[in-house]
Amino acid sequence: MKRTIVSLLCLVLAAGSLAACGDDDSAGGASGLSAANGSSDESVPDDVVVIDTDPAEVTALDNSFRPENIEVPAGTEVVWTNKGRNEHNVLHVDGDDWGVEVEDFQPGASYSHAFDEAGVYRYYCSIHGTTDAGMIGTIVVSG
Amino acid sequence: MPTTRRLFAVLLAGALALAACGGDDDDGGSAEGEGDSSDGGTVNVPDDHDTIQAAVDAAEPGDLILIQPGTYEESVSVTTDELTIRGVDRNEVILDGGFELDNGIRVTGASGVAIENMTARNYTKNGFFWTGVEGYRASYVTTYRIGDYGIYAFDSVKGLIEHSYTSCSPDAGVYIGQCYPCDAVIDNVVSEHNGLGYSGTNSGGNLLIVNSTFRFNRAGIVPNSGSYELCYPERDTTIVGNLVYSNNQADTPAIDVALLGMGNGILPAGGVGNTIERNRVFDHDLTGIGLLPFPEEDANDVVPPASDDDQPCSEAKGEPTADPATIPDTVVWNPRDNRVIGNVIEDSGMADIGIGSLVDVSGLGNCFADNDISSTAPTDLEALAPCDGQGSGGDWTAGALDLSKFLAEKPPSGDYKTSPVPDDQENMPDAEDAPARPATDVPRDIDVDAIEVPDRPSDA
Repeated sequence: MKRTIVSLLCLVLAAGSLAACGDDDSAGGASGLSAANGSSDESVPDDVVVIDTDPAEVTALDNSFRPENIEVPAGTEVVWTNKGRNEHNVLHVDGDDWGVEVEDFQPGASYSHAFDEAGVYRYYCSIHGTTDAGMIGTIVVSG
Repeated sequence: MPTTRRLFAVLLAGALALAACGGDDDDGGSAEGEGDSSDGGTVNVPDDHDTIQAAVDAAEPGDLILIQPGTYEESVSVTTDELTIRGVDRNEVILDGGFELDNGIRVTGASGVAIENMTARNYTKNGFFWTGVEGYRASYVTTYRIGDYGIYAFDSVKGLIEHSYTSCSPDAGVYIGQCYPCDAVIDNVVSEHNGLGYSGTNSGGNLLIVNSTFRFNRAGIVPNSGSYELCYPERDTTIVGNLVYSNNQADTPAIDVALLGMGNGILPAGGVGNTIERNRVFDHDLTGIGLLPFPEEDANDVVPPASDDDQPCSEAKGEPTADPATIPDTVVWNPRDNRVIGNVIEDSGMADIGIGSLVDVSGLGNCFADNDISSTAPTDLEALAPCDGQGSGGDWTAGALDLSKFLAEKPPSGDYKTSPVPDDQENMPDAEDAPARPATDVPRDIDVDAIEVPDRPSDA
């Protein structure tokens, strides 16, 4: 399932990705996508789940985001719902223009954000993770 | 950290230590290899760095971070492998969150980190917290007035929590969750005045809770299942040789599930395949040992089949969940296949041992034998479900456990911020001079068969 999704990702993404599709170490380059801040991409995970519904749903459990890494078309609204018993937040790694703090993301609460521009958007829960370990997630937005 | 990089880091630390072997005096040390550790240097707080975080950031794998007495108003984040973080005096090295900071020390993805001989208090979330690690150890630590868990290991394996004390957490004093097999030991711990003395959601597999005391909580030892964490259900926890008493405290801080469990000693809620032996359990308003279902509303998945019990957590995490349309409004996690043997239980308000469910409890595979008890619910439980041989075929409805008693309104939660301050606790031996001891050879072996029922304290 994961291999099929990654293969599909390779086919649909921008030019310049085909040479890297068989290379696990360049999954970021395979997408042709840049990180949201415009830097060269190293952050597209291998196990991205493609979601074609709008809104796209991400569940915050204790203490993980599920699916952890998703790909959505530009313009999709992503909805996070805290279905754990603990407090969490959703903090953008590379900027501060979206996300939700603990007070507004209690168990049962939802938060949504529409991603209009292609890119790779990493996020995390600061209580239960750092920017690259623990409770983390990625939104890959395709153009 | 990938294996190759970790090996390189350990080799580098060892090479640096060898280069410094001609210097006997630890003049304050550094991360460059001075000090008496054979695998790394000693980083001193405050002599080398004013804050624990600065010391952690400067340290290399294998280093000892040695902290002098003082109050450190920090939330420390650790991402370096194999550090030993130690206070020279357990009661005088204090991390204080001021009820504003979230975690005392949080170890994220860094393996082999040991925390020793210090106190964490006044944090809004967790005292000492490991997440996503292989190898962790808490030794001679104290936590109190912590908003979620005192000592907390999540999605982590190969751990040891020993000679430690926790109190005044609304959720649990000690928590190990989302691991199978956990390969972890909780040994010689005192957990009191919490919502739950111990809680473990979806954990188990070579997970031992032994030789410890759980008292004056709302409920004592509560392994439990639920789909709000991954790797469900809870299974295969070994609970042996513990003192569990007076878990009816009406004034502790307590979250909702702690209120629900109030008045019970050992309470596997939807737990599977646990071994509960040779514990001394007394003075509980409801049950000494109660095997209960956990009804989960708005669940994220359905109960997996028993055939998946042996599936490791590393695989289970990648499994898709059920179609939400097929998930019942309430998913019931039933207690099954638990073994309750050789416990000494007395002074229970409802039953020394009870089992209840929303389904026919006779088919859940639990068994009971050789317990020193005076009451069970249903009646004659050891005859109905012995651990050896056939059951008596008697009436499982006679004297059935009245689950409605568990739903009675409980006294509300106390304020964790104003909960009692504990007495000073025992220091670790030789804190100043002992070498670094990263959590790379944990847990230690425990001869579970040799553990006896502990004596009742003379003052209880």
